[in-house]
Amino acid sequence: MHHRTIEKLASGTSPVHRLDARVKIILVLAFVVAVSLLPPQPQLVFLAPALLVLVALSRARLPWGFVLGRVIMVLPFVLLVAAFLPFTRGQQVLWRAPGGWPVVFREGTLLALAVFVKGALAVLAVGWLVFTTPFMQLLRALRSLRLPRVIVATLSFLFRYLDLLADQSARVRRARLARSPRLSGRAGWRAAGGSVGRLLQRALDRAERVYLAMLSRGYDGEIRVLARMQLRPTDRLVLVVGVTVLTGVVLGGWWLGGRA
Amino acid sequence: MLEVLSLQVSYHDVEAVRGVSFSLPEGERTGLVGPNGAGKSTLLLALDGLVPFSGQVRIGGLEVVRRNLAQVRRQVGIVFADSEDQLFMPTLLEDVAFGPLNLGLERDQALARARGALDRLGLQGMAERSSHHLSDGERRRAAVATVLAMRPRLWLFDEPATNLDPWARRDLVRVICQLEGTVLLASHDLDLVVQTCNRCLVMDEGRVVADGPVRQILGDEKLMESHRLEVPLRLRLSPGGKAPCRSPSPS
Repeated sequence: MHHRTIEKLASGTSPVHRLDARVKIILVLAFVVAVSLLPPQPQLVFLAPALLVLVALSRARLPWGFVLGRVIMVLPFVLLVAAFLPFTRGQQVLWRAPGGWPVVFREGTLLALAVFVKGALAVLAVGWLVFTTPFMQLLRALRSLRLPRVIVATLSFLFRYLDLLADQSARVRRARLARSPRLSGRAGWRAAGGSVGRLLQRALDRAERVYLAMLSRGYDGEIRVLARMQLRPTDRLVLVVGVTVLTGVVLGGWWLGGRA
Repeated sequence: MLEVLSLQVSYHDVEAVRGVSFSLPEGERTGLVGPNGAGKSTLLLALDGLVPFSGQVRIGGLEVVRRNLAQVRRQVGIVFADSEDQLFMPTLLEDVAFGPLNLGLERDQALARARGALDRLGLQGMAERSSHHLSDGERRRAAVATVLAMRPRLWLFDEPATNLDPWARRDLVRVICQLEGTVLLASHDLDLVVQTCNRCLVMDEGRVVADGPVRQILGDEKLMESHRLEVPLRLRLSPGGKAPCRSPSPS
């Protein structure tokens, strides 16, 4: 499963992997905010953030093919957001269909391009975070950055029981196929729906039992964990430099945008 | 150690436990046998205050009522039937430390306890693993470790031998025999009860229908068959037999 591959990548030893997860989260958030604050024109303003994210990725020594593969999977959603802009925004006509509709505007097209590039950069940055941070560290960091504990606990259980759920659904599917090798169309869908229902029921039963097991070991609403997070001097330095550089990128972008 | 008086539990209009009374002296290992649906698992949950019940349960003199639950759960440890339910944290070490941290121990102490429990169950090399990657036998030992780290005085086992291969099962016998504290072990594996317990309770339809020395109870063919049980092979082969926890164990 993909999350296992990601876990393997995330437990690497590069300088990026060793960085405190909280620092990485803050930097990625700052990066996304900075990129979204950049003016849509000139396109030159995207050069700096693109370079930053590429340098960050190369420092993490990740396999490029895998990273780009994951990122491409998310891009259609970004495209969807940008897709309508060329037809709806602006005055200067770039192209008009023979019947007079639709019309493609210049301003809208440039804006769509900017939205797409911003989205792609943000996705790359999030990829950099996720592929270099083990999931548990990510959760711990989110908790220490004050994400509500219910959300953190839910994600943690999802991570723990994902494989189990996958195994279970594979078993249910196999059992269904064993009895109905050629079910198709409506009957097939109905059978599949039935198994999904069974799976949900089992998951709920398990949740109930897990809760009892937690109570029996003294659970009182707070999930306590062993690991403590400590910022090293390197972490602080990276944080300060990173935020400063990103501020510079935004200011520089505005200056360029003002001149254009 | 444990005193139970007219314990009753009902779930959605079904009476799972209908007036059970018994007591366990300190340090005794007792088997709890009975057909499916006899109420064994429900009884175990009630003893830890995990399901609402009527009647009285006292553990080490402490009554199992809402205001005492935190203290009760310090003293009672349950090993659940499905170890996957018991291992809910992402790594084994976090799982075993979960109980001690909830007891209010400092991180260092909790860590020491967790490591100690893993060592004792031969899992020291697996602390950082996810329990998904353990074998069934290892997972069962891990579940025992999570409870061991809390140092309970009363151990409750629910079907501990299910899904274990013969070697893992023998290992479990050894682990149970080495526990300190009082043990109540619910199982369909009647040989396991013979191997580990001195005394045996038989439950059927929510009631305790027999209580006595393990060989006498499980060797009673009439009693066993009238409650959808059978005399375990171990007793048929050597009715005199060895005392529990005396069988040769794997090193």
